[in-house]
Amino acid sequence: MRRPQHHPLRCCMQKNRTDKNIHHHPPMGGLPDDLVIFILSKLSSSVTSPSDFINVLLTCKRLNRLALDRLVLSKLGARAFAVKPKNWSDSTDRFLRRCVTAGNVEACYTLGMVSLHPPQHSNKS
Amino acid sequence: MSGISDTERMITLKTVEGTLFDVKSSIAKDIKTVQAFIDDSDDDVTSPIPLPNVFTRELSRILDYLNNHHRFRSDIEKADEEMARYDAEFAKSMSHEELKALILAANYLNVKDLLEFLNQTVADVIQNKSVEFVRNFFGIENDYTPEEEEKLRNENEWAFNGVEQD
Repeated sequence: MRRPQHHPLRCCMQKNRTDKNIHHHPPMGGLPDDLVIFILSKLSSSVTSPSDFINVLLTCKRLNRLALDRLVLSKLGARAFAVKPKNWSDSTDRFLRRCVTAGNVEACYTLGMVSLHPPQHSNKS
Repeated sequence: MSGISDTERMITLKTVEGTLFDVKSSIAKDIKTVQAFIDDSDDDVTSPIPLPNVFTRELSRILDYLNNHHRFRSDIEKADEEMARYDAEFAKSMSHEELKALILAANYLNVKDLLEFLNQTVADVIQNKSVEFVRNFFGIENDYTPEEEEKLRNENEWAFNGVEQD
């Protein structure tokens, strides 16, 4: 079956672009969202510390939004969750839950361990 | 269908600047956008295929990459080693701007392996770098108000104090 309407080159030749996926490059070095997510999910699988990843959230609003995409969170490696018990806070908890929702097994494991061995000065209840 | 001759069929690609590149059809297969065009034309491509989003510099780099990888793959014995060395050189030879331009081109042309490799390269570049470095890399401006940034930093403090130290 031929479906030339889905073909990027055809679209251009017909001078009649209706393809919604063609990005008119916004800021961020011209990289569209899907590519930034692609890059961030590569980063998330190889981070060596929590701050390595959290740094990205601090750069700007767009990168913050893209870094919290399910695809990116689901790939975060175990070392992104290496939090010292004394630093554990409600927002750590929220972040991990978010990763669990995204399907991250490491985050699941970490949360499970934390629930078995609660951080020493947990303020909650 | 024209018969298969012993010399491989060549496809001509045309960049934004109008530069023409002759490409073996076996290489064109790895450029999915081009291959789809060829398939759509029932293999009857006689004039240059225009690539209205791809510049000469990027296309020449991409073809370089593909040609070399094809060559490596034909020599199984030292393929991995040489390919790794070539890839490392390839990544190093580019400025950040060139790297991003190449990602856009590889994405548009749908060259999957190269796109994977380039995105991993960017991830390696920004890993373990400061917030400011990442901003510079992507050419972004901090659009947080000082209050928002303060709040975000406080919320995420847990991530910064956890570094193992003896």
